[in-house]
Amino acid sequence: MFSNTVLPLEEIPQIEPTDFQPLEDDYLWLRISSWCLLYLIIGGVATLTVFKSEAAWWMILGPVILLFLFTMFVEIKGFKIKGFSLREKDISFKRGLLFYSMTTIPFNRVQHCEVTQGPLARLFDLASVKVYTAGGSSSDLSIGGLTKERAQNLRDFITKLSAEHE
Amino acid sequence: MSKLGLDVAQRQSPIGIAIIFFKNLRIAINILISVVAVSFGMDTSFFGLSIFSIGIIVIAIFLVISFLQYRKFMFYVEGNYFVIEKGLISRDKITVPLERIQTVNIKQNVVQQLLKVVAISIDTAGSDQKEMEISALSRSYATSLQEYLMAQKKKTVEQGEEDDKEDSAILMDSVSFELDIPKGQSLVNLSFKDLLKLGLTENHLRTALLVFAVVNGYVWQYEEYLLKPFEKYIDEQADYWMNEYLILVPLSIVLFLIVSVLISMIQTILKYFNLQFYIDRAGVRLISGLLKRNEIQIPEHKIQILKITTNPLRKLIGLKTLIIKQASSSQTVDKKSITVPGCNDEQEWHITNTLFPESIGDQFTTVRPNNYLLLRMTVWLSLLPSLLLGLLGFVQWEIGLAALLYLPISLFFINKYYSSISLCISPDMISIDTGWVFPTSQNVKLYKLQSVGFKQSIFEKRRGLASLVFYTAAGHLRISNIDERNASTIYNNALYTIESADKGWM
Repeated sequence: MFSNTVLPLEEIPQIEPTDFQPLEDDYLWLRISSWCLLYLIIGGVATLTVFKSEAAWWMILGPVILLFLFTMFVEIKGFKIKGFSLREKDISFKRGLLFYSMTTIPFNRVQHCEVTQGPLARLFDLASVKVYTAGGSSSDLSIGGLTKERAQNLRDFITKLSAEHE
Repeated sequence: MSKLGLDVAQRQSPIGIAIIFFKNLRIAINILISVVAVSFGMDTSFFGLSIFSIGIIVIAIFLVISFLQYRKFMFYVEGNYFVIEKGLISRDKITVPLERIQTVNIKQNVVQQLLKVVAISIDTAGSDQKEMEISALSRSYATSLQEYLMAQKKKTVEQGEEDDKEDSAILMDSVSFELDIPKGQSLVNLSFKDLLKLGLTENHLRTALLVFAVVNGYVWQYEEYLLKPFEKYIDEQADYWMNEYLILVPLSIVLFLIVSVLISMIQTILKYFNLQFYIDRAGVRLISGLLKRNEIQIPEHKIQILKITTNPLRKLIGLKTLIIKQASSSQTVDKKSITVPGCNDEQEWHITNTLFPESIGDQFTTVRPNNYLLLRMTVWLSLLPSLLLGLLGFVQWEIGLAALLYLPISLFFINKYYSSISLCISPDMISIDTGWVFPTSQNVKLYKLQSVGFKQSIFEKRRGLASLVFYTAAGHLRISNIDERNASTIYNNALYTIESADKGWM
């Protein structure tokens, strides 16, 4: 078992699953509708191919439908896993049903922070907060599914805290 | 200031015209060859002018452009900003606050070496900044400019600190910009014999692939000119060659190997000729190169990752390659890192000890991936491919033989690879080892981490395992399939160390 020689382990703050706040329920609908849009396009192309080719319809549309059902399953089941946790000194985001992933960025490593809102998200009045570090794009956080107001508050909060470390 | 005269706009050394001209010419020739010569052929003419006279006109135009570009290129200091103005048609004005200048490097390519000038390139914090390079300065001017910029930077930073007097002592300590890396004693010196040794023990496989890619690209681009004259001959010989492939395949492999080794040698000599490596607590500095002499320095506080690696051939002669990476965007991380090839154990120890004093004093705990990783690799990389090959063996017996050969070899390598993976962690730093054929060890100080990731696929979750990713400003380190309780302890521990660190990561 891992041990720490300087500080007793119990004294190091742990990230608990209960610390995490869920995202807005509307976000699930936003995700579902954007997937539907994508699958409509794929489905459209697939249908056209059915008319053009000799193959039976299920051979082309079948995989598309199966993939769609699988995506929906993962999206709906995985939605409960998505969440963020705001602590005194860092922010964490977790997600992923098949490939769970949790990333934490300490405020003293935040480069900058912004609120973004896509065209579809605007319809749902939702926005994302993006937190950038110097560690490259794979280490950045993007917390989607916040109301515009909550997103702006979160950004101001992170910006204020990270500025203290400048 | 007075010597450099930076309060008024300065031009480069007049030789700059020649440097710019050659730069432009190289671009022009590339375009000319690929577009004009290839698509129209050598004996085309435009408006009654031959390719040759067009070439002369083009060169004349470029000469004028180069002269104008030289005239329009100016640099100066305005207040706390270093400014470069350039551009003929669109005027670019690049302004950089002096305190944001990260490093000032001196470079020299062949043309610059012949004309006895140097280029100076200025790196700033932030990856999206435009590159700032002044391509022709006399060496003495460049050196004093370099010193001046670094000194100015230090001054601005100190001024800023005096303004917010709090904790200035601590801040001063953490932001030390002196680059008084000793100029006298170089730690690693490579003699010509060492260079030959290094060239021989290069990763020839990589060189071969590189050669193959380049040759392939060029051959097809200029196929018409390179292959057409031989086409008849090739056609005649083709049948004969086909029958003799048992002789020709080994022969061409040997030829390929010789070419690769030769190219590795040439590359090594070009890159590491007269290599000098200086190191002390303030940072590291490397000067090397035959035709193009490069000088890179990385101050201690900007070093993010120390990577120690070797290959089977180098291991035989007891040499290792050390790569010191500094903060930069992922595209430029290799360009901005310092590579010291051919370090012996003593030099390696000295470098690690200087840059990571923690590695000696700290108490380390070792965490190894679970056996499940070995199982997964065995199934996917050894058993399944062998089974497939074995099944194909029913069609052609040679393939079955390959399966019999592949199984023990792959099992051996997978076992060795699996045993080589480990994560060593102390309260201050982590070190991840991977690889048996190419053993690599990456060292990072915990407080330099940017963020930490905890990943768990459903396969890992079922077995109570997890992966950790440590993100630094010079790339990330990853270890997978470790016990999830260990993983979360290390995760929390790393975060605690980053958050309680009073030193800046850069």
